[in-house]
Parts: sequence; C-alpha cells; structure tokens
Amino acid sequence: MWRFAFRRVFGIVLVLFVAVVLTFGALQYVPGDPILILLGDQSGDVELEARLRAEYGLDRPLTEQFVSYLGGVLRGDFGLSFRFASTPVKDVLATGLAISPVLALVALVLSVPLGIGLGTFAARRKGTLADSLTMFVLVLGISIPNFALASFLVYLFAVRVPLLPVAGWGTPAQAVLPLVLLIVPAMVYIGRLTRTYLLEVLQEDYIRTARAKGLREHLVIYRHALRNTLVPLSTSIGIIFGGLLSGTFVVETIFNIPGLGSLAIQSVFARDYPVVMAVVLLYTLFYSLINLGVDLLYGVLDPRIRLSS
Amino acid sequence: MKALLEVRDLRVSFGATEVLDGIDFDVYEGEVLAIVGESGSGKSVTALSMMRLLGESAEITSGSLRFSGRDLLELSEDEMRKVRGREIAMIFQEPMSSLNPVYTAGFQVAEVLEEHFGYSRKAALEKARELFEMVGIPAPEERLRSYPHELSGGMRQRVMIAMAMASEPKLLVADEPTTALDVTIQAQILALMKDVRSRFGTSVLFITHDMGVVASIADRMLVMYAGQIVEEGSVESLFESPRHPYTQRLLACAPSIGERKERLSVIEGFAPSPDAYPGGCRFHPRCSEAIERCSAEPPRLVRGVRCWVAEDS
Amino acid sequence: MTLLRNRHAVIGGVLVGFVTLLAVLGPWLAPFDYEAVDMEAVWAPPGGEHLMGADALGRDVLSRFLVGARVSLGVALSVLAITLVIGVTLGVVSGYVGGLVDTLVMRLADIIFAFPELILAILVAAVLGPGKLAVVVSLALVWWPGIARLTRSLVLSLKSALFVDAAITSGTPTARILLQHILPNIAAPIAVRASLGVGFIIMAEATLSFLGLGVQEPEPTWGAMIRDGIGALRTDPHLALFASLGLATVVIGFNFLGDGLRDWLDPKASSR
Repeated sequence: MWRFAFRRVFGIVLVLFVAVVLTFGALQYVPGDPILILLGDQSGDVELEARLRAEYGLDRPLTEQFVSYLGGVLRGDFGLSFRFASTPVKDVLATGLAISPVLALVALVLSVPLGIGLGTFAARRKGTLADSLTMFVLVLGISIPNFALASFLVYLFAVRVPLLPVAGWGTPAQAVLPLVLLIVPAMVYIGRLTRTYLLEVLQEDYIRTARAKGLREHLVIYRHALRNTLVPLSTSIGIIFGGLLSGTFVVETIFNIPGLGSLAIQSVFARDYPVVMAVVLLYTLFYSLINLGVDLLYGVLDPRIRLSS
Repeated sequence: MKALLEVRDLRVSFGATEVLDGIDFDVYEGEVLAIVGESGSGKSVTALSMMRLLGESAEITSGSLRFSGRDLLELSEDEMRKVRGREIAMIFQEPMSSLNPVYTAGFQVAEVLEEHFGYSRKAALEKARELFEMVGIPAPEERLRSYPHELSGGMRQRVMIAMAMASEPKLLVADEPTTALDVTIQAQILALMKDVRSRFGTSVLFITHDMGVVASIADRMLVMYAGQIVEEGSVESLFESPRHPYTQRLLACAPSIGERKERLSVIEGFAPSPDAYPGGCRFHPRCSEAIERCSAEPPRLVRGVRCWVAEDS
Repeated sequence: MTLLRNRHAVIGGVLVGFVTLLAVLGPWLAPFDYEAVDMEAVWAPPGGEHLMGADALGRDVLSRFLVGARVSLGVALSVLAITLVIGVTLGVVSGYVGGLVDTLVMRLADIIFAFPELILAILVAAVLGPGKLAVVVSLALVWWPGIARLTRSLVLSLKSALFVDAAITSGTPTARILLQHILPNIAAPIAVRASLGVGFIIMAEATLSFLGLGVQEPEPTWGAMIRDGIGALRTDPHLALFASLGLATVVIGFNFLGDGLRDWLDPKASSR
C-alpha cells in the first residue's frame, strides 16, 4: 500500500516537473519579445526596457531563470504578467481560481449520480422502448459537442423562452446553463458506462444469491449490483474530470465567465504567456490530484485491492 | 410421511425449446431428496424453478409447486420474495462467485435476518456469529469481518450454508454445493449438511451428478435424463437394483463410496440437446438394451421407472 | 452478421458518406465565394438568395458551411495520418524490440496521458501561435500514444503466436516478418480504433477553432462559425444553429460508424 502510494505521488511529481520544464521551455520559444510588447509605443526607451528586463528577470542566464521559475512555482508564484505590467500572475489568476475548479467539481459531483441514475434506468429496462430511447439520447449526448449544444440550449432557454441569463457570472441563475452544458456530456458518458457495467454485473452469481436470499429488488439492484459497478466506474472519473476541465474553457468563453479557461484563451491572444503557463500548470495539477484521488477511491471501493496491495 | 413440497407436471421452456418435460415429485418433511443427472439433464433448472429464479430467458409454462399448502407459482413476485431465503433457501455450486466481493461475510449473512425478521444490524451480526460457529467456521468473530476473497472455497461454502440456515428454512435447495471443492473439503461440507439437516429437521433437495455424494447424504433419489425423470426410488433400492439402463450405467461409471474402481464403462454418445430430443424414449440412441418399441413410442413413468424394457420384465 | 444489417453502421455510413460528399464537392456546390463580403446581405435570414442566410459580414453561410466541412475533414484526416504513422511505428518498434526503447516510448505516452488534452493544445497554440498547424500538431501529439499502446499490445500478442515464432526461428529477416506477418494482422483493430477516433478528432478540432485557437479567418470552420453565431443567437440564430447541426451530424455519423464497425469485427463486444 505504501509502496503504491509512494509510486503514485512520485509519478505526479514527475509529471508536474515535466510540465514546469515544458512551460518554461515554451516561454523561451513563444513568438515575440514580451518586453517589447509590454513597452508598446515607448519601445525607444532603452532605460525603461532595461529596467523591465531586470524586473522580469529576463536579463539573467537561462539556468538561473529556470531555477527561480521552478522555485517560484513551488511557492505558488508564477512571475509577473506581460499584459498587466508589474502585476504578479497569481493576482491575475485569483478571480478565476475561485470559479473554474469549483465549476468543474460541482459539475462532477452532480453528473456522477445523474449519469448512474440514467444508466441504471436503462439497464433495468433492457430491451424495452424506454431503454432504446435512453440509449439514443445518450449516444446523441456524447456526439454533440457542448458548444453546439450550447447554441441549441441558449437559443431555446434564453432567446425563445427567456428564462435564463446568457452571460455573466455571480448569480445562481447565471450558473444554470454553464453547469448544464458541463454536466450533459459527463452525465451521458457515465450513463453509458453504468448501463454496460450494470448489465454485466447483473449476470453475476452473487446477484442470484441476493435474489435467493429474498432481498427486495431495490436492495438487489442498488446494494448488490450497483455497488459493484462503482468499482470499474471509479476508474473513469479521471477521464471525466479531464473533459470537464476542457469544458470550462468552452462554457467560460460562451458565457463570458471570468474563469481560468477564458483567462487562458485571452492570454494566448494577448501573448501574456506567464498567465497561460500558470493555467497549464494549475490544470495539470488539478488533473493529477483527481487521478490520485481516483486511485485511492478505487482502493476504498474494492476490498480486494484494499488489502492485497 | 408428509409431503412438504409437491411438484406436479412442471414444464419449463427457453423460448420455443422445452427443457423440463412435465416433472412430478414430492419432497417429504425432513428427508434429503437427490436429483441426479448429467449436465444439461434439467436438474439445475428444476432447482432454480423451486425458487422461481430462472432468469429472463426461461419460463415456467405449466405445472404447480405446492409448498406448505399453497402453490408457489400462484404467488405474486413480492409474496414469492418472502418465501425465498425464509422458507426455502438455496446454496450454489460456485462458492467463489456466489458471495458479493465488496461486502463482508458477516454482513451478507446478517442481511437475511434484517430483511426477513427485522433484526437490527447489531443483533443480526451477533446471530451471524452464532451461525458461523454452528457451521464450523474457526474464529467466527474475525471471519464476520472477512471479505469473500480472504476465505477459502470450503469456508465460503460454510458461509453460504450459514446464510441459508439463518432463517431456519423448511426446505434447502442445494445445487451441486460440493462440486467445486476439493475431495476432503467435499466430505466436510457433506458432514456439515447432514448435521444441519438433523439439527433443524430441514428437508433438502440436493442436486448432484456424483453418485458417491448421493450415497452419502440422500434418502431418496430422482434420476433425470433429457428433461425428464427416468427413475425414482430410495437410494438403497436404486443402488441395489437399478432398473433403468441409464441409472445402471450411471452407477457403473461412478466409483461407489469407499472403493476406488476403474472407470470401466462409460456411457457412449452424448446427451442430446433440448432442441433435438430423439423421438420415442429419449435415451434409446445411447441404450444398449433398446428394443423396437423404444424408438417408436415414448415410455411413461410407471412404478418409478420410465423404460419399456424395465416395465416388461 | 453482415455490416449492412447493423443499423448503427448503416446510419453512420450514410451520414459520413453524405458529409464526405459535401466536403469533396463543396467548392463546386457552393453558390458563392465563401470569402465574398456583401454588406447588403449582413445577417440575411435563411431562404431566398442565401439558402442558409448570411453572417455578420454578409458572407454566404451555405458556402462557408460546405467549405467548413472540407476544412474539418481535411484537418481530421491529416491528424489521423500523422497519428497512425507515428503511433504504429513507435508501437511496433516498442513491442517488437522491447527493452529500453519500449520503456522510453511507454513512459513518454504515460506522461502525455497525464495532461488534460486541451491543456496540451493550448500550450502548443501558445508556442506556434493559433492556427491550423497548431491544431494538427496538438491533436497528433495527444492521439499518438493511444494508437502506439494499442499497436504495442497487438504486436506483443502476435510475437508469441506460433507462426511468427516459426518465422523468427527460421531466420526470416526482421523487415519481412514485420511486413508479411505483423502488419497485416494488426491492421483491422487499428482501423476500427482510427474510425472511432475520427469523430472525436473532428470534435476536438471544432473545440479549438471555437476557442479561436484553431483554423483562422477567413478560412471557415464549423467551430469558428458557431462562435461567431453564438453572440448573435438572440437576433440571428441561423449561423450558430446550422453550423451546430452540421458538426453534430458528422460526429454522430462517425461514432455510429465506428460502433458498428467494432461490433462487426468483434461480435463479443456488441452487447456493450
């Protein structure tokens, strides 16, 4: 167990180090000289240029820059923004940091039970019209990109029947459509997996045992069958969370939400690379942490893993 | 003796294929009735029919299962559920896969008591501990908290027996409970079942293909072939003087208890598949004593045997 | 079961065939120059001269829709070609040679898997600048490890097969073993995987273009058309709705076709 945990943590540290190297490397190769961009009209001002270079640490040798970048990242300091002169990246990130991860986590927490419910509904009615219809909706849900779905939903609920706001952030109503758009793809993905796994588990001998014991049907399904589908389902949570993180980029762009995703996109166009790289590092960290959590969850859900490793 | 269960004209079909062709038998109070046959003879289908647990693909098309005065086939699904695990319990062939891997052994036994008798979790676990002790599980306190994968095959079957006996059922259906176990463990489980039977006076319907097992545990036996009962009688009389050629062959194949015999005679040919049962007597293509009538006219079960030749002699 | 009796495969095949036809014939079918700006026709509603209406610059949406199909499929095919070449090559080498090469390739794949897809794409877009090249490079970067892992496992299982063993011990040159024995036997499962991947690649391309990191103006793509249209949904919904419909259709088509192909080649998995 300890060896396993150690290996996983080491793996995450390795991935994050690679991410730091990649982002630092990328910063060296991005087009354009950031200081010249920052200077704008004052590009002739040699003194100001030298001062800025010193402030951003760009006058030092590369290795020294890397060490200080790495050290900064470890302390949560991602350097200074190029777009907002002399502003630390972490201040630029502050607003978004309170939005995007929360959005993704809330969507995850809601989509898991919804998806499991849908999949169970379909599996229990296998072969009926209700099952076929549910399956059709699930395939549709997986195939329609969320921003395409967004145009249908926004058109429907914000234009035709104006119930919900189409942009902005701060009120609960403004969170409804973004959350729906994040939840739908995750929910249908989980729904399809749940149906598949549940149909498999229902064939198991121990389900027959549970029925032979005279347990009520809901206990057979939920306590005995569904509990076992959670084991393989838990392994897909990492993939789903990855999808949700990508999803925040899309919904934040659609609804003008000041999250990390829309910030990263704006920063790519504004060539504010330190901000882009900070978002890349943060998202990689979230993703790694969720995957670590999934591994631990897997051990909790499956007693065979819990004790043998 | 009083019949606990009366099975009459039980017919089961998988789609258009009939796999049980009008089965009749009684299980008396306190007796062990063995159903013997090759795989595919319909003996496991018979066992699952007693619980109405055949699954979606199979259907009981006719017949009656009178159990303690009512027909199980007439009960609603919810009434039947209250019979399962409480009045009729079942244990299965594969103790490995018959226990849920994510719950402790103790919980899976306690569940029966919570469901049927409204025990609290604590009281149910306490009773489960007693049951573990009764079925000879060492260190029962700790085994309550063990997961199935931490137990040996024999221990798991003991857990299954504890689970089945938790509600002191009137009838225990045992579907090849020893087949998947080592020989020495087999003997222990059989001894345990005999002990449990005499302690509670439970009737047992014991499904097996092993004549040695039959000899050691059963009072009476039914021999099944191709979805029909071909011979029935007390274990003593059938072992002494089997009348159906199929029973004779089965007994010749099996080493009897206590002696290791060379497998001299093996039944030639294969058991027919349910969608292609031969006309006449279903055993006639494999029967060395078949006469002309055997292929022309299906024999009926007369005085405990379904055979034209045996009937005439 | 023949492929034609599989309902999913047929529906998927028809949808994919239809969109492919549109993409190939697009330039000839397009009633207007997709770049032609017409200030008279700004946000013209569907019908009349502009069947699907016009966009904010008065450009014909139908023409842009048709060329957009061509761009989407073109990008998807380029990505597919690159991932297949890189993935299969590295997978075969990794599986057949083993040792240090194998370890290196698989660790590299592990590391790529440890990043969320879009994050790598953004990193690439930042370095290369938003555009078609960034899309192709980033998607290829994300997709090759999956193909490489699949190929490697197929090669490993073949390597222990008798006929390959026989070829190795009889001294057949490695190149001939690979070409004659290994490649023909791994082609089918890889093809299925690739066909399942096309829908997702198209979706990923559209996502990047939607975010503005992908194909740039004036070249049209469905993803960018949806982004341009979403802001005008209140007054002129046709742009976003037509582009969304096109994108959803092609992705559904490829997913159905891939599912159907998989069931056809692997009936065991059909119940899933």
